[in-house]
Amino acid sequence: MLIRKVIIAMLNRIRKKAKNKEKQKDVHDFSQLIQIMEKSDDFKKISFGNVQSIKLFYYHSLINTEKLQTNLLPYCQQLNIKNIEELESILPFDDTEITSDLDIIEEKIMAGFIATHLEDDTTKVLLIPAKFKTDRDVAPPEIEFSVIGPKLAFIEDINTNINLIRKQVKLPQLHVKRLQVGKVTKTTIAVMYIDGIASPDNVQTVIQRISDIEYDQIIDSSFIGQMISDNAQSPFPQLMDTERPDRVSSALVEGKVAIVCDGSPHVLTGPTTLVEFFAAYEDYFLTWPIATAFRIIRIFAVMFSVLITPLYVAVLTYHYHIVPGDLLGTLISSRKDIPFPPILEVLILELTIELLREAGARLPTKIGQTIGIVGGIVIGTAAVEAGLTSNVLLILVALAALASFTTPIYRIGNTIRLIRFPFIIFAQMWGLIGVTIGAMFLITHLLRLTSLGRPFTEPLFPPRWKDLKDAFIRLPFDLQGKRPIYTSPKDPNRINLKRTKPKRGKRK
Amino acid sequence: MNQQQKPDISQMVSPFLLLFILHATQIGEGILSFERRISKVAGYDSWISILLTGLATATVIFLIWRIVPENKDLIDVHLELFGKIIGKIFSAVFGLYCFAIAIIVVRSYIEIIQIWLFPDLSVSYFLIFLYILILYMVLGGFRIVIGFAFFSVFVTTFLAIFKYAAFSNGYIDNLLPILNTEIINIIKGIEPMTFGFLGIELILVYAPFIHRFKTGLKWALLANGLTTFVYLYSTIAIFIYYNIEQLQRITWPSLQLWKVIDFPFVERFEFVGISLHFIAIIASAALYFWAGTQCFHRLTNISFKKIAISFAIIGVSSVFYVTNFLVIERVTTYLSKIGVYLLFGYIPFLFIVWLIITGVKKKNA
Amino acid sequence: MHKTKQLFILVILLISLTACIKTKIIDDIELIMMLGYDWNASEEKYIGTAVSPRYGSSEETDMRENSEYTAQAKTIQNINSYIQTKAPNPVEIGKILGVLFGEDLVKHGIEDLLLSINEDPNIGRGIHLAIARNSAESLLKNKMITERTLPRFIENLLLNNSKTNVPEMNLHDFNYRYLGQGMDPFLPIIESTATGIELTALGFFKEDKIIHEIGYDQFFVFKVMYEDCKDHTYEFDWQEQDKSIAITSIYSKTKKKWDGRDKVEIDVEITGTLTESKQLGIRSFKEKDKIEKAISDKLKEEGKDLINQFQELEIDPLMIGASAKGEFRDWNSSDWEKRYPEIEIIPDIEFNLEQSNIIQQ
Repeated sequence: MLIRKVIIAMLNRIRKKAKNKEKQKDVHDFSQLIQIMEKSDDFKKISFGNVQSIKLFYYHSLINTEKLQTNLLPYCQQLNIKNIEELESILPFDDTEITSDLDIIEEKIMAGFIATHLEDDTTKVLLIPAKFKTDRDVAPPEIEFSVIGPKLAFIEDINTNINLIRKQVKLPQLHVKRLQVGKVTKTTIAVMYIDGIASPDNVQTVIQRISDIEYDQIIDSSFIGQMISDNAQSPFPQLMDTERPDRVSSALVEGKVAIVCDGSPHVLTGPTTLVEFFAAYEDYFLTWPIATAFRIIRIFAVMFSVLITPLYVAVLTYHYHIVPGDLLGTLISSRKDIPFPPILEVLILELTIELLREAGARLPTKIGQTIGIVGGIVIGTAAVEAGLTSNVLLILVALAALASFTTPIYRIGNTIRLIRFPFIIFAQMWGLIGVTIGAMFLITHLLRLTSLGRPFTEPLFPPRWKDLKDAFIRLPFDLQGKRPIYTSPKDPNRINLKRTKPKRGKRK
Repeated sequence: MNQQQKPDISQMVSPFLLLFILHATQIGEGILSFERRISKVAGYDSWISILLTGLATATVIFLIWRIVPENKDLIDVHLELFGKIIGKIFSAVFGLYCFAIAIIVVRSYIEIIQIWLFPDLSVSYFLIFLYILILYMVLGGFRIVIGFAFFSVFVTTFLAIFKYAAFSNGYIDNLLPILNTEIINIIKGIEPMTFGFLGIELILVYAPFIHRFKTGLKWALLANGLTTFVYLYSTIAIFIYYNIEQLQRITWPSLQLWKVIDFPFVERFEFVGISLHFIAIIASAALYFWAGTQCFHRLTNISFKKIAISFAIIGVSSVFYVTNFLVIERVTTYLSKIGVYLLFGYIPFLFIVWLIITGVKKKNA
Repeated sequence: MHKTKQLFILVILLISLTACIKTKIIDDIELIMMLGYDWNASEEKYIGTAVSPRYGSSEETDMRENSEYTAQAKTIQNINSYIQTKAPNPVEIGKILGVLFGEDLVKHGIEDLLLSINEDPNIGRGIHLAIARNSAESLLKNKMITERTLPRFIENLLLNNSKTNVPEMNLHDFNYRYLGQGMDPFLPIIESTATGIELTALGFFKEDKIIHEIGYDQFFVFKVMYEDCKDHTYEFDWQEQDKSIAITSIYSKTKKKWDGRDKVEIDVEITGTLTESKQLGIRSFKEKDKIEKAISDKLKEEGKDLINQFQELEIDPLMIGASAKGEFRDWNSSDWEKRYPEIEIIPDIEFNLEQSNIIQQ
C-alpha cells in the first residue's frame, strides 16, 4: 500500500515538473510579459512622447521613486535619443544592462529594476537599477550575544551580509558563487569559500546540493540547512548557523564553506562537528584557560540538562539503593504528598517549562518577561504548594532548563530540549539500564551523522588528537597552527610556526 | 569473488584504532567474573596465568598477521587454503560462532540485569530493543560499530578506576607467597582466562577494513597488552580484597566490590556500574554480530541488511531456547572452549597449512 | 520515509507494551533501615525485627519516629515476607544501614543468617554489623530520642567508633574473616542503657559463635596491635608516680615480623602526645625516655595478656595465621590450628612522645 502511494506521489511530482516547464514557455515576448505583470495594480507603465517614444515599466512598490524622478526622468526627456545604447550611456547608473532575454528581464524587474525600451525596438530592453531599500540597519547580535568582541550581526539583505564578511576577510581568493533556488520565491543564495583553503570537494558538494533543491519557497537559510543536510530526519543540526559575521569569517579561514541566503539573517557554515555547537565565538576573545573552563562547563551543563530528569525518574522509580542516606529523607519528604509517579511528575513539569519557553518566545518581549515571572514564580510555587510536583524536582527541572540555555547556538538548544524526552521514557521502562540504552542509541545516532560527508563526532571519533586543540579545550593561538582536519583544507597550515615562535621569544 | 563486497574507502579505519577495537572486543562480560574462574584453577598465583595468556594471545595475533595478506580476509584465506567447498564450510562455521558469541554475551548480561536490577524483566521485549540497537549500529557500517567500541573503551577504563576501593581496604599479604601454586595449575589457568581474550579471531574478518593492515600489528599487540594489563590490575585488586575462600563463593566479584563504594551523591555503585558496563557488552556483541553478518554476506552474496535482520530475529528468539541460567552457563563454557581451540588450535593450524602451501607454491615457481 | 514511519509505530507499540516491571517508587515503599535478629531457642526460629523510619511530608516534620515490625521464621526471606503482612507498603531491605544480632543468636551461631544475607543482591556489603546485648528486638524498639532516627544513630555510633575505639567491621570485613583461613572475626557489642545506646564491648567469634569479650579498657591495645590507626586515647595508670595520665595517640603503625616458624613479633609504634599530664612536666630527654618506657612496658604487658587470652581460646582476630600464610610456602590450615596456641607471639609496642602541649609545666 505504502509503496504504491509513494510511487503515485513521485509520478505526480514528475508531471508537475513537466507542467512548470510548459508554463515558462508561454511567455514568448516582452509584451506578453508586460501583460502578465499589468494585472498587478502596483505595476506602472510610463511613456514619454519624443522622437523615439521611451517606455518605462516598473513595480511601484519595488523601486525608489525619488531616484526615478531625480536621476531618470530628466534624461529621458532629452530629445535626440535614437537607440537604447545611447540612453544607457547618458544615464548616471552603474549597473544597467541591455538584454533581450526574457528570463533576465523578469527576474530584474522583480528585483527592483526599471525596464525601459524604445517604442520601435521592443527586443532590446534596458534595465536600470532603482531598488528601494527597506532593510534594517546592521544591529548587534541578539541570539549569539557576546559581552566582549564585535557587536555586529547579519541582516536580511544578502549584499550587506556578504559585505560584512568581506570586510573581515580582505582577500581576492574569497569567492562568492551566486545561485538561485525556489521556484516561486527565486531566492538568491551565495556560497562563499576561500579558494586555496577550502576543500574543493566540500565546495562542490554544497553547490551541487543547493542547485539540486526542488522547492517552491526558500524563505530562510534554515530551509537550505534542512534540505541539504546529510540526514534530514535527525534532530541534530548538521550545519552551523550563526548570525555573527566574525564566526563566519573565522569558519571561512578554517576552510569551511558558508551559505548566505537572501532574506535571512543567519548564515550557514559547514562542515561542522558536534563539539563546535558548544563553542561560543566569545571563547576566542577570552584567554585560553578561561575559555576552556567555560567550554567544559557548557558541556557538563548539556549533559546535566539531558540526563538529570531521566536519572530522577530512574532512581526514584527503581533504584532507591543508590540514593545516599542523607539525601533519602529529603527526597522522600518532598515526594510524600505527590499523587503521581515520578514519570508523570517529571513529564508535567518538563512540559510546563516547555510551555513557558514557547509562550515566552511567541509573545512580544515585554509580555514575555511577565510570562517568565508568572511561570517561574507563580506556577512553580503553586505547583509545589498544591502537591503536584516536588521541590527537589522543581529545582532539577529549572536547573536543566537553565543548563540547556548555555549552548551558544540556539538550534542545538532545541535539540537538547527534545532528546530529553526519549531518555525519560527509557528511564521509566528500565531504570538506569534504560538510560544507558538511550545513551547508546544517541551515541550510535551521532556516529551515523555526517556533515557534508564528514563525520559529525570528529574529533572524538574518528579520533583526531590534533583537532582536540579546539574542541573541549581551546588552546592558545600559537598552538593552533593547523587548520582543523575535518574540513580537509587544501592548505592545512594557518601560520608558519617556525616563524611565529622565534618572534614570540623575542618579546620576553 | 564479488568486488562489491570489498569495503569502500569510507568504511575503512586507521590501523591505530585496532587498539580500541581489539580491547573493546576482549573486555566483555568476562571481566566481571573471570577472577573466580581462574582462581579456582590456579589460586592466588593465577595472575601469572593472565600474563601467560597475554603472551600466548600475542603469538596468535602475530600468526594472524602472517596468515592474512593485505586486503584479504578469512574467507579469502579459506578459499585459498582449502578450496571452494571446504573453505566455505569453514567460513560459515566461523560466522555461526560469531553469532553464537554475540547472542550469548547479550543474554548472559541480561541474566546479571535480572539478578541485580529487575528480576521481573521481560527478556523478549528487552531483547527486541537491544537488537534494534545492534542493527542500527551494524547497518551503519563497520565505522559505526568501531566508533561505538571506541567509546566503550573509555567506559570500561572509567569503571576500572573504581577498583581502587580494593586497594584501600585490601590485604596485600593475600598475594604472598608468590608461586605457591604448582606450575601445571598455573598453565591450566590459561584455559579459563582465554575467554577474556577472545576477540582476536575477529581480526580475520575485519582485516580488509583496516587501512595499511600490515602496519597495524603493533597496535594489535598493544591492545592485547592493554587487555592483559587491565585484567592483571583487576585481578590484583580482587585478590587483595577477597581471600580465596570468599572469592569462590562470589559469582561476580567486581560487582560485589562496587557495593562498598559510596559517594556523597551515589551509594551502591554496582547499580551504576552494571548500567555503564552494559555499553561495553553491547559494543563487543555488536562487533561479533557485525563479523558474523560480514562472514555470511561475503559467502552468500545476500545483502548485508537481510542477513543482519534475520540474525537479529534469531537473536531475539534466543529467549525461547536460552531459557535459564544453567543453559547460559553451559553455552558460555562450550563457547569459551571453542574459543580456546580456535585461538590456540585452529589459527596455528591455519598458519601451518599456509606455510606448507606457500612453500609448495614457491617451489613450483 | 515509510520505513521510518513503520519503525516509529513499532517503537511506540513496544513502549506501550513493556512498562510492566515492578516499580519501587521511593516514597511508596517501606524502607527498612536496620534489621535485628534474635534466636528463639524453643521454636528454633529467627526473630527478625525491622525498623523503618516514618518520613513526614515536608522537611519540618521531625523524623525521629520509627515503625518497628517483628516476625518469626526460619529463613530471612520469609521473615521479610512475614513483615510484609504488618507493613502498609512493599517492604524493601535494599537500603539497610546495619544488621544487629541478639546475644542468644551469636551464642547459637550466625552462619545460616550470614550466608543468606550474602545471597541477597539488594543488600550492600558496606553495612555495619553489631551484636546487641540481650536482644536485638528490645534494642531496636528503644524509644530513645535521637537527633536522627534510631537506625541512623546506631549507624553513626558504629561508624565513628570504628574510626577511634574499635576496628571497623562491616559485612565484607566480617565475611573476609569468617570465611578466610587463619583469622577470626569480631563484632562490637552495643547495649541499650537507661540513658541511651552505648558501644560497650567487643565480642570475638570462633567459627560463627561468640566466645570472648573485651571491655573498653582493652580497646586501645587491641586496636593498635590489629591495624594502623589514628587518633585514639589511652589512659595510663603510672603507679610509680601514683598518677593517672592520658595519652592521645597521633598515629600508630603495626607490623608482624616472623622470626622462625614459631615466633612472631607484633611490632607496634605509637606516636602520641601527653594531653592530661597532671603537672607531669617533661623537661629532659631522660624524663621523656622514662615515661616512654613506662608506657611501652605497660602496653606490652596488656598486649601479652590479650594475646594469651586469644591463644587459650584458639581464636585469631589479629590475623596472625593469615600473615603466616603469606610468609611460609607450606602453610596449611589444619596444621596451623594445631600449632597456634603454642606459637610465641610477642607484642613489641613502643610509645614515642612526639608532640608538646599547649600548656607549659
